[in-house]
Parts: sequence; C-alpha cells; structure tokens
Amino acid sequence: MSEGPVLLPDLRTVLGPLELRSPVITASGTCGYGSEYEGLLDFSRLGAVTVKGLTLQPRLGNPPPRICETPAGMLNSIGLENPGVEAFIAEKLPWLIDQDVPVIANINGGTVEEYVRLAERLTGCPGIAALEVNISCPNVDHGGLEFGKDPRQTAQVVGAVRSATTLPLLVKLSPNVTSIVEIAQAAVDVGADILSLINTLVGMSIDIFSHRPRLARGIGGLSGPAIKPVAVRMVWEVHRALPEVPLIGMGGIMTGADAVEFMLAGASAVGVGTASFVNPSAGNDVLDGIIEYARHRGIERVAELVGSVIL
Amino acid sequence: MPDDASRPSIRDVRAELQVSKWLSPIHVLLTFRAPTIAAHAQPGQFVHLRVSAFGNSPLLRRPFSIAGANLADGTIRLLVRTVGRGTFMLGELFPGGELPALGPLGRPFPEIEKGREVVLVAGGVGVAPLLFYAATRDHDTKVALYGAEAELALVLADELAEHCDRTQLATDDGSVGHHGFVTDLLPETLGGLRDPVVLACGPRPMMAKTAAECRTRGVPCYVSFEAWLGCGVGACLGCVIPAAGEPRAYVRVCRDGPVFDADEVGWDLLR
Ligand SMILES: Cc1cc2nc3c(=O)[nH]c(=O)nc-3n(C[C@H](O)[C@H](O)[C@H](O)COP(=O)(O)OP(=O)(O)OC[C@H]3O[C@@H](n4cnc5c(N)ncnc54)[C@H](O)[C@@H]3O)c2cc1C
Ligand SMILES: Cc1cc2nc3c(=O)[nH]c(=O)nc-3n(C[C@H](O)[C@H](O)[C@H](O)COP(=O)(O)O)c2cc1C
Repeated sequence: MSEGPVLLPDLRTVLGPLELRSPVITASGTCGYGSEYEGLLDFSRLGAVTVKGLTLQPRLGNPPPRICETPAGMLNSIGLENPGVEAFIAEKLPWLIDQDVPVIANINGGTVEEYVRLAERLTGCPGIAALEVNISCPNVDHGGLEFGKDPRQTAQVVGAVRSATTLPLLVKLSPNVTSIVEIAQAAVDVGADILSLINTLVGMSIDIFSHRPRLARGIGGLSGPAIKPVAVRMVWEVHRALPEVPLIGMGGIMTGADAVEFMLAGASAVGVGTASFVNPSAGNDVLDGIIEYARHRGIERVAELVGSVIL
Repeated sequence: MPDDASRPSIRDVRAELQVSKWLSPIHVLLTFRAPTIAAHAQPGQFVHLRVSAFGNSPLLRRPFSIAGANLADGTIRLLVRTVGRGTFMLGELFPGGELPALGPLGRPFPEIEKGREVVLVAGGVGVAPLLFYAATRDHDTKVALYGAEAELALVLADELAEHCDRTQLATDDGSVGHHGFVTDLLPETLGGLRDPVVLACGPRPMMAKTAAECRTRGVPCYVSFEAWLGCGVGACLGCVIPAAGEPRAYVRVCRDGPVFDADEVGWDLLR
C-alpha cells in the first residue's frame, strides 16, 4: 500500500492461466448472452462475461412459475433453458465477440460424456476464453448438483473435461454440500485452474393461501444479498485451505463494498449475478465501487486486497 | 420471434414522481417525469421500476404498463393497484421522490390499420395499457369493454370512454353495467362488427376466454400478459409462458411480450 491518492488503481486480475483486465465478471445465468443488456452495460469494462449454462442439445427448462422473491433474495428454477451449444456458437457468440470481452462458457451435462463433448466443441472455438464446469445446478433432475455433491464424482467430471480441453478450466461449486473444501480439493487435484463459488442455495417458498409451492418445481436456488454471508464464509474457507488456487467469489454482490468483502475473504475476482436484475449496470457499478474504495484507501493494485482479512 | 425495434432507446433513468393521485382505496395513478421513456413509449410497453431507491427490500423491480405518455412535459403515467409490499410503497411515495425506472420495455401492441374496428377488453388494472392505446391510436371505430369487481374498481372508465366510440362496463357485483364477466359482452360486440381486431389485458382466465371467443370467430386477438419478472430484459428466463405449437417452447413475457398474438400462446399449458 502507498500513502496518498491513487488515480486509477491497477485492476489487472490474474486467475492462473486466465488474465483479465478487471476483477468483475457477470455470473452465469444472470446476464443471458450479453445482448439482452445491450446499451445498458459497458462490456468492455468487465473482466469477462459468463454465459447462461449450455447443454449439448437445446433445453426447454422447467415449467413456470420459475422465480419468486424472498427476503433480500430470490428463488429460481429456470432449469437450464438454453438453445444448445450449436445455436449458441452460431447465433449468440458473434455478438459477444464484437464487444471485445472474454467469454466464459458455463457447461452442463447429464453425464460425464456430455460434459466432455461440450468441452471438445468449445475448445478452439474463437471467442471462448475459458470453460466453467457447472456441477452445482440445483434445478435439474439429472447431472448438475449430483456431480457436485460427491468428491469422487467431481473428480470424474472435472478430470474428464481437463483431458478434453486446453482452455483455462473453472469449476463452479455448490454451497449445498457438507464440506465445500473437500469438493474444491477434489476439483483442483484433477486439474481445475480456478474455482467459482457459490452457486445458489437450495430453497423453497410456499404460498399459504393456495398451499402450493410458489415455484412450479417446488424447490429452487436462492440467490441475492440473503446468501452473501454464506458465500463469503465459503470463499474464506476454500481460500484458507487452498491459498494458491484463484477464486471467483459470488453470492449477493450488489455493490463495490460487497465485492471488496469477497476479495478480503480470498476471492481474486467476483461474479455479479442477481444484482443485474435489480440494476442492469451493476457489473459496471460494482467495478466503480471497487475503484472508489481502492482510491480512497491508497491501494495501487486491487489484487493486494485478496485474502487480506485480518483475523 | 422478432425483437422489438425500439431496444436502443431503453434507458435506466431516475424518474421523479410529480403527481400521486388515489382513484380508489386501492388504485393510485402516478405521474413520473421520465423524458426518454415518454419519448419512445408505445402502448403495451412497460417500465421496470425499483420501488425503493435504497436497500434490498423488496429486492427485484416491479413492472408496470405505461398508461400514458406526455411528450410535451416528458411524463409517463402508471396506474397501480396496491396488492403487496412493492405497490404499497409506491402508493406512499411523495412527489419529488425519485426511483430508478428502466424502459420502455417489451413488445408493444401491433400496428393495426385505421379502417379496422378495434375492441379493447380490459380486466381491472389491465385497463392501463389499453388507455394508452385508446388515447394515441386512431381508428374509425374503437369499442371498449371494461370489467372489474365493483364500480369503485372501474377506475378511469370515463377517460377510456372519452377516447372510444362505445364503452360497456361489467362488474362482478352488478354495482354498475353488466352483472358478470366482461367477456360475457364479447359475442354481441363482435357480432355487430365488420372486421374487428381485439386487444385484451387482464387476468389470465379473462384473456383465455377472450382468445377462445376470437378464435372461434376468426378474429385476430392480441393479449398483454403479466408474470413474475426478474430482469425485465430477457436475460433471466424467469417470466416465461408456454408457446403454442410444437416443438414445445417457452416465450418470455418481458421481451417476446408482454403483448402476444393469442395464437402464439399455449393456452392449454398455462397454469
Ligand atoms: C408487463 C406487466 C405489466 C404490469 N402492469 C401493471 C399495471 O399497469 N398496474 C398494476 O397495478 N400492476 C401491473 N402489473 C403487475 C404488477 O407488476 C404486480 O402487481 C406487482 O409487481 C406486485 O408487487 P408487490 O410488491 O406489490 O406485490 P408482492 O408483495 O410481490 O405480491 C403481492 C401478491 O400479488 C401476487 N403477485 C405479485 N406479482 C404478481 C405477478 N406479476 N403475477 C401474479 N401474481 C403476482 C403475489 O403472489 C402476492 O399474492 C404488471 C405486470 C407485468 C408483468
Ligand atoms: C436466474 C438465475 C439463473 C442462473 N443460472 C445459472 C446457470 O445457468 N449456471 C450457473 O452456473 N449458475 C447459474 N446461476 C447462479 C449464479 O451464477 C450465481 O452463482 C448465484 O446466483 C449467486 O450469485 P448472486 O447472488 O449474485 O446471484 C443462476 C442464478 C440465477 C438467479
């Protein structure tokens, strides 16, 4: 740290093999394929865009209602609706490439084989900067969280994808486990470069007048400020156990202050999710908040913040 | 499905409340200053409003149809029925207060030839986008059918009537107009018209009935849907409704709608 004012702190963010110009990334499923926010968000200021979860084949998703609001949060059970990887590459990716922002593809399979085929298809695909293996989706009946709950299955999927790609490899971790450190370790042992955490917490909400769950599927994933303390704690736990592993922290980040909190806990970068629904320019505003904080505190490189919580 | 052409004009602005006027114990008419939204708004489009500029309660924005736009003073009007926390908070906002407003969003009602008769079918607060339509689109004949629980809830009926050649009311309790559903009035109305187009906004059962009646008569029908919205711009896929036809698919109320050709909607799959 230096004394005195800092004009613009150094925002460069190194996540193992993935180098980004800023530490703020959009979280999967909350920024669509980018173009939905055209004119509302300056993509050139983001570290990267993580696109909505992709599957090999088009996926219909779950019946509505798919979302409902809860105290300081929301539940969703989208169920990975997406047009499939081929349509993504042909119809969605070109727009993102034009924005000059690294694209992280979030991949989802019902079997190990499907994850591998997705990785193969996307590796070498122009514009794709990294793969994020989603083993934490709570909204599908097959795959998803089943893989992310058990260290052996985690290792199987991640190891297989590792062999299938040369791209930087992220693994998206679920909070719905007994020990997130155990899963994190399993993923890193077989070659994960970066860990993203956390995905949503499984939750439920019931309409007391109709006696029915407010989501058609019954349960869904909780996101937003309500989950922030849980997410910060998990980032801190994983960082403490695996200090060399770069982490992307997310869960309820609404402001630059929230982002700084994750960085202090050990996140090298942050994901902005639900906040984009509340404020479409959240991805930019969170970065401005980080810059403001760094300037105020005389911090020259935001990377200095990572893991600097004082216990 | 084509994207709305007006997208580049979408802005997230701070809208200042100018006038708040209660029209019934549960309906409040809000006039906000929001020049960019007023300049681009088309009937059927909505704004996604953060009901509190600070804090996380409620967290998500709330969508409201644009009930009118005034280009001269850069204002828009919203007709709000208070049903829960967010709408109660809106009702308590003082003039001068500013809220983040994203818009104009969504696909508006289509362009319809002037010579065709237009029938506006409004259920409750669903009158909001139809008022905007009636006030700004010119047709040789405009007929309004407007229903609600009781006379007290038939807010802005006079204004609607001013813009239409004929207006018929219906109430569940018979306090004014036809005693029963607004859709009961549809067969006779359509029977008397040459080449009508129907535009409807209201509760889902009302729109389903309207769509069914139109289908049997071969009358084009457009419906404006409500759903729980997340982002409001088509990214989160939270607000979908089933589309008609095969292969099965969903469409987004916020982006593909809220106005749909009734033939695009998978009515039998709606819950
Ligand atoms: C495109 C669009 C246009 C709309 N236009 C208008 C308008 O012009 N005027 C107006 O008054 N309202 C309009 N609505 C509905 C309005 O957005 C909701 O009434 C509002 O979000 C409720 O917020 P709340 O916090 O008061 O209610 P909450 O506290 O969130 O909920 C109160 C009660 O209403 C129910 N509810 C809330 N929102 C919805 C919903 N979207 N669908 C079904 N049930 C719901 C809840 O289940 C609960 O029982 C529109 C909705 C959409 C999607
Ligand atoms: C509507 C919605 C859809 C999501 N879809 C995905 C997805 O497809 N893949 C994924 O890995 N995470 C998905 N997530 C999880 C987010 O990326 C993020 O991990 C989580 O919401 C926590 O961050 P937040 O509180 O900032 O939203 C989704 C979240 C929401 C709210």
